[in-house]
Amino acid sequence: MSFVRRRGVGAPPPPSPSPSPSPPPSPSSSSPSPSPPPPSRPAVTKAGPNATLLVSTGVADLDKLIGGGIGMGKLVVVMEDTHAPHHLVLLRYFMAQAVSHGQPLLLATALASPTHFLSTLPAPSASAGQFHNEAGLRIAWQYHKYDLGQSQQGQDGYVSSFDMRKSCTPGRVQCHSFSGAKVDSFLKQCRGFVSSLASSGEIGRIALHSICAPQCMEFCSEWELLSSLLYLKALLLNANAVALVTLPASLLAASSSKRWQHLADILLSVKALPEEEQTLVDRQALGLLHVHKLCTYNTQVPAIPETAAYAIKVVKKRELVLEQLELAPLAGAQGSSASANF
Amino acid sequence: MVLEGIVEHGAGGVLIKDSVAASGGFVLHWLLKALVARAAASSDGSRVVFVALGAPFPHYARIARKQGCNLISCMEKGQLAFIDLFSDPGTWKYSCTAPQDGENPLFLLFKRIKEAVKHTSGMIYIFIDDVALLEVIVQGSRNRVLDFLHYCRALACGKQKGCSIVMLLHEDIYAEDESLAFVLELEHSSNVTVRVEPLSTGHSSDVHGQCVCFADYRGVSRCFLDRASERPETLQSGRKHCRLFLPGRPSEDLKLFACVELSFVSYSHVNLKSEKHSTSDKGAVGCFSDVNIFAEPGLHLYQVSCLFVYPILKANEQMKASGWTGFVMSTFPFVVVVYLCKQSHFRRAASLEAMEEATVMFAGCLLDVRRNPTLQIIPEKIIRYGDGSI
Repeated sequence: MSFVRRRGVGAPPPPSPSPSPSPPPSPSSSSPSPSPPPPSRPAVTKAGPNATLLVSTGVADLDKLIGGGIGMGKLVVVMEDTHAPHHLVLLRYFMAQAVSHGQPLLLATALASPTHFLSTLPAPSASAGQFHNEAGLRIAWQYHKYDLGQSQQGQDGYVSSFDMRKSCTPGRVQCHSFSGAKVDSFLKQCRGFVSSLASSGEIGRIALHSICAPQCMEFCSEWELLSSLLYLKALLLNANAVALVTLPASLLAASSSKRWQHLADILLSVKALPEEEQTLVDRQALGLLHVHKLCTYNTQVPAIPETAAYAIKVVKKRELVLEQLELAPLAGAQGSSASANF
Repeated sequence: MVLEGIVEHGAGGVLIKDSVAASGGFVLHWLLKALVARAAASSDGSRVVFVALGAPFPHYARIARKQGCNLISCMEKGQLAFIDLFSDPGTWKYSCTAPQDGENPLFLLFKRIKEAVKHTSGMIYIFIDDVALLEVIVQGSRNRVLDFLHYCRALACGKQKGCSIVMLLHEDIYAEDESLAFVLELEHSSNVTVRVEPLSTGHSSDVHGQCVCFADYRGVSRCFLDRASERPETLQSGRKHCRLFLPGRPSEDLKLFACVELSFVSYSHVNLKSEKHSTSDKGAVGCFSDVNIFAEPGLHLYQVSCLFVYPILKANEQMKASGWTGFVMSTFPFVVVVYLCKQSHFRRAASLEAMEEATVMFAGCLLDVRRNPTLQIIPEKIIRYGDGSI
């Protein structure tokens, strides 16, 4: 191996990492095309561990946190915070991902007019193609075997990047409003939704906004809601669907909120940033996201995140980014150079 | 194992308490695998009935397969009856096929269980994945749940030796005062309570929680178990097991799953004579077949005496020759964990801290002892104590 032969100095790294560091003969160095092969169709699902199929949440960082995505048939519960509406952002991304993949979506909300909420979904950003241009990196030949920049190309449409400044027009969305309706009608609609999925073979998403809000509880008892959600879980598992539920945990009694939390396959909570900690954490952070529980289907051990708390940030007013907290928010005495991950 | 206690002493069971932050499902999988294997190995026709409310059958089957147990073949052979209520749409109130109001759904479940154990002659083990979900089935009526559990326990009659119920309970749901009675009743009806908690220091990616066992053994007061930190871990071959280790300095070499298996051994308890129990710091020395057993100060000597005739202590020749010593570090519900270490080290150990250090260095040797298949029970060995009493 001589140092003279540098393979493909200006060429982008090939789509698949080369198996050995030795430089191949020069004709083959021109075989990787300058641009990676275009995806034939967006990869809506990804194969997950333990024989599960994963679907994206819409936020790439969140996907990484929860182990690649939401498993098929799983229920994600996001606990709301009374002081901040950050759960709505996650809900919007979830729904926007469904829209951008063309998946059927069912939205059930405590609001009286769900259609208004639909107009606030972020649209896919136009910069999705920019990732491929970064392949103009000059990578020395001996590093080709390393997976540099592959993660960007590996997405291939699994998770779209969204621009929160724009809104998209949702396509196949069914709406249901809990206010003034009993749980029966909701479940009937769910059953219809799921059976239509079964016939068309697609993957559907169900978004439940603010279940257990007072509007929902007018006509049904908490036990009915719980058992209806368990029924929904069983339905989801047999059908190709995932569900995201936002739960105003602070409105419930402690034991009931714990019941809901145990019901979830993946449990997240969003909190507003407390006033006194704003100086310590990066000012751009909107709020905190905690990961409480991850899916343990088919396995005893879920994916374990490095830390349990992340800061929600909006970058350039359009993208949602989750970052590991650099400073422990409660370590009041430390300066900004301290990095205590917790 | 904990099972030995359940098996020998008939009705009772295990209550597993967990919370959102630390899930106790791993104990269920562990016990399921062990009891099914035991039912398969024994010829007395024991049967395991698993009532699954929180997850469907493929979940358990896959985990059991990773642990080395094929649930489907066990079902075919009749050792396991799996009642999958999660996938069954008739379970929850809002499906079309649910029983109408007025009919107790738990009674139907009980009939199914009864049907499943009709022809067994041995022990019956009933696993209930989630007691909280049983409550949801009956829309919050706890009395019905308690009645159901009582009926299940009473299933054992006639030739059957007894019925044990292994239940998973979410203790944080029942943390309020008025729900305490429910939890206490369940605890009272179980022999062993395993409580899985998150670490008090918060989230950690290496150690996932801690688990504490309480046992009420033959009506004797509960012994509090040293906390073991639980670490569910994946081996590279894809099998998963949980590692439990005592807090302190867990060494990477400790194959602690074997250690825990070793330590949960049953023992026949004798009366605690607290006046004989000395609180001196010296502790007492017990000798058994060239392996010296030192009792930790504060330990009830009689517990130490009767128990460890189980596998640990017929130390194999190699160990005896190299001068191994065992001493007791902590008590588990039925058993005392004996740590073996080199005698020379132990003589240097003047304090409890030094003993701990010695322990950790040599606790790996427990694995050697366990691997020896010729371990026997030798109850008639005399155990000498430092103060002369037996």
